[in-house]
Amino acid sequence: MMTHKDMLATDRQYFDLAMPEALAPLLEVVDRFAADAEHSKRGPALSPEQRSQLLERLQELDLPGLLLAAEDELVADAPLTLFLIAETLAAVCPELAWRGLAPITAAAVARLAGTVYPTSHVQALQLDLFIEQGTGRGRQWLALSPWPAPASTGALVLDWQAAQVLGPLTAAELQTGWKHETKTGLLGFAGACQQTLRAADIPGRLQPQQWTPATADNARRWLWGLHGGLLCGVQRAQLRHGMDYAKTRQAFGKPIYQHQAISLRLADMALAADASRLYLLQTLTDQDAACREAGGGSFIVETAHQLARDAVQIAAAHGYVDGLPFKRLFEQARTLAMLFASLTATPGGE
Amino acid sequence: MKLDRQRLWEAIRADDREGAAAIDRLIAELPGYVMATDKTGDIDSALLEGFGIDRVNRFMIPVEYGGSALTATALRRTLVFERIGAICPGLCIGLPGPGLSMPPVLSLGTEDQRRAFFARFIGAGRPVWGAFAISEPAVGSDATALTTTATADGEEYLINGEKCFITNGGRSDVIVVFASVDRKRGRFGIRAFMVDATTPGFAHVRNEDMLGLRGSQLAQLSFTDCRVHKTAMLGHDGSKGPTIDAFTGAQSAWDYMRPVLTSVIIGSCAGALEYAGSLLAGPERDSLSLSGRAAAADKLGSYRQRLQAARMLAYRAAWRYDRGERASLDASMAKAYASTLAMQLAQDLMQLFPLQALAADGRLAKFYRDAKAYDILEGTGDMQRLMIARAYDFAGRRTA
Ligand SMILES: Cc1cc2nc3c(=O)[nH]c(=O)nc-3n(C[C@H](O)[C@H](O)[C@H](O)COP(=O)(O)OP(=O)(O)OC[C@H]3O[C@@H](n4cnc5c(N)ncnc54)[C@H](O)[C@@H]3O)c2cc1C
Repeated sequence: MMTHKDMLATDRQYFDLAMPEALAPLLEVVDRFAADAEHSKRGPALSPEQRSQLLERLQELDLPGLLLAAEDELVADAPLTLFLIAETLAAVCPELAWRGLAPITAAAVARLAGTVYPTSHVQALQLDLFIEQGTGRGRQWLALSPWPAPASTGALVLDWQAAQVLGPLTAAELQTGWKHETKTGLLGFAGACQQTLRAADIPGRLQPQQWTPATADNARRWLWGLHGGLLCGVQRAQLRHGMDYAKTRQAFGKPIYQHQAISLRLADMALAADASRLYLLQTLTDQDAACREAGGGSFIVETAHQLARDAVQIAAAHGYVDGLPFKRLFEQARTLAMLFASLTATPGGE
Repeated sequence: MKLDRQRLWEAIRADDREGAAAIDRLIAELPGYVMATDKTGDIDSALLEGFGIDRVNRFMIPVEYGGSALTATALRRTLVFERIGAICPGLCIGLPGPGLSMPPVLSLGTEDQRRAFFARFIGAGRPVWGAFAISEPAVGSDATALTTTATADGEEYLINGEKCFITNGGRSDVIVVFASVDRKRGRFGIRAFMVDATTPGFAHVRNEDMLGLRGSQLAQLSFTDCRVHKTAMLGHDGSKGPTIDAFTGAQSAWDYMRPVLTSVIIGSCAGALEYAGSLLAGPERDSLSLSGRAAAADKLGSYRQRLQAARMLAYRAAWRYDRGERASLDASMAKAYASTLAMQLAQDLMQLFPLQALAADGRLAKFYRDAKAYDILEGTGDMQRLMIARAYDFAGRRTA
């Protein structure tokens, strides 16, 4: 099977990508962790020590620096680079990838809206992305956060429907002016949370900043880059583990991949994963914003569901319970697919 | 087959008023336990104590052995279990009673064995579970390759091996265990044993942390020189053992249970569709555009039709079973169709209602987690399809 490095090299040529050279050390780090993780029975689930080591290495690499070149300038092709970084990291540890990259994405989107967030604050502030949900019950925001609690967390509030950005808000402002309605976990990401916030009494300081269509599309590209990359990384992991399992698990006297039901399923998974990944990359580079508008991501979401379902099916009951990576990847794929879908859902209230 | 479900439901209730009252109570109270059970896998004892538990224990037991008339035929079971499955399939499968361990005892056991086995569930005044243990860590679909052994030692057998993914295995009083008395003979060496959970050498190793159906608790069980009397072997009358292998018993269990499981699946789909309908009618619909709402309504309508088709497949399998005909093909068709339908529906509901589906402990997320199991338990979708390809009446000849 193609390694991640080979795949990225092909992408570079195929899409004529100008990827920052600084990506090379990141790939090395991630590949090394992927190789270590593959030796363990639990697949890519990193040990707590490996996680903190990886996080340290990523901080040393200055990821924000890779994507946000200067205080007020975004690196060209950054959403695509973000996609590739997210995918590479998520193929090893989706949780870490989301946590590591969400604040950078939030800072980038804030910057697009004309609010400069010093890159040095990005790691510390742990920004959330808040996406508005039209419910007819007043204005309400859905907060999708890879972190457990918002106590030290600022928020970037996006009014997706009106293509406005409200905020960013500091943690203190968030605590005083907003009503937290619900707070629940997100499947597959221990500690991550989803909150519905009501802003009936938003403090007056919030000055909605109207986006131009071009800015709104740019913001969408960043979010697609992040969430699309995370999804594709999870799919790489599902394919790799599916293939590995099918080669080792025996039924009726032979490895199960020699049963056509399994080999055809694996082939279908590979077809769907590659097709939707190329489509995603293409939409990230396409100048025509229409392909990123409402409903444009449904194919990507469908593919994510297909791979999640089929990877578990290959391992059957062993995939349905904790132990092998399949259950966790199924849960993570679902959450990431939902996040992606919420970015492209058709807005209500026509 | 003409079937008026409502009339049949009323008629079978009249046959077992106490059983019907127990069902009514379950249906009224179960919703309050769904989310807590999903979290811990345990069923709160408050639900299982007191009134009606003896009735629940009897649901899968034949009437002639003291079972409930409500579940006396396969068709009746489909009606009962669709209703409970609509509330929570995990809780439904996790309810007390012999479950999948019943049919092998009925088809392979001697009269004495049947009486003794079923008596455990009657009048106990507390929940009593039974379990069916055939799967092993290295053996699933190809169950004839199982490695658990039963070695004769005078009047007794010593059972050694590991069983995994056993529904209700950790809370069962009695487990029907499949083991080989002679591994050289392959499937023909396999026998089924009734093992009391208090037998030395038997251990409940752990419950798995599973994606969904969490109320039904999948257990890993181990047997280390677990000593049972020879009359624990199904079909052993004390002087000689059965002449046929226990696989016939396993097949009878699947034929018996697949229409029931299909009804649980159908129930869970019907529950999810009803919930989705309520989202479309409630304030949540504002998160969809008008055209999105129309498309969603169309999609739900199409699923209702497919669900009705799944019901007809389940009823046909049940009808054939009740006539004493071979029902393996029909049972496989019903189960395969409903399992695929459930997963498709779960995926589509995620896409139709992404914002409502996000919460890990929400109704739609739970349906999505539960639905993935259907294509695995009691034989994977692939195995059902292989069976259908072999036995379907393509050339006017039916082989199962
Ligand atoms: C919720 C749940 C409850 C369960 N309850 C019980 C229980 O009470 N008692 C019990 O004994 N077991 C139980 N099981 C186990 C269940 O019966 C097995 O999971 C099932 O038989 C499949 O076996 P496996 O998981 O080992 O998959 P494997 O047999 O390892 O199969 C792996 C994959 O290979 C495919 N495959 C295998 N052979 C072939 C072939 N010849 N052609 C094409 N494809 C093939 C399968 O379809 C599957 O996709 C339960 C499982 C679950 C998930």
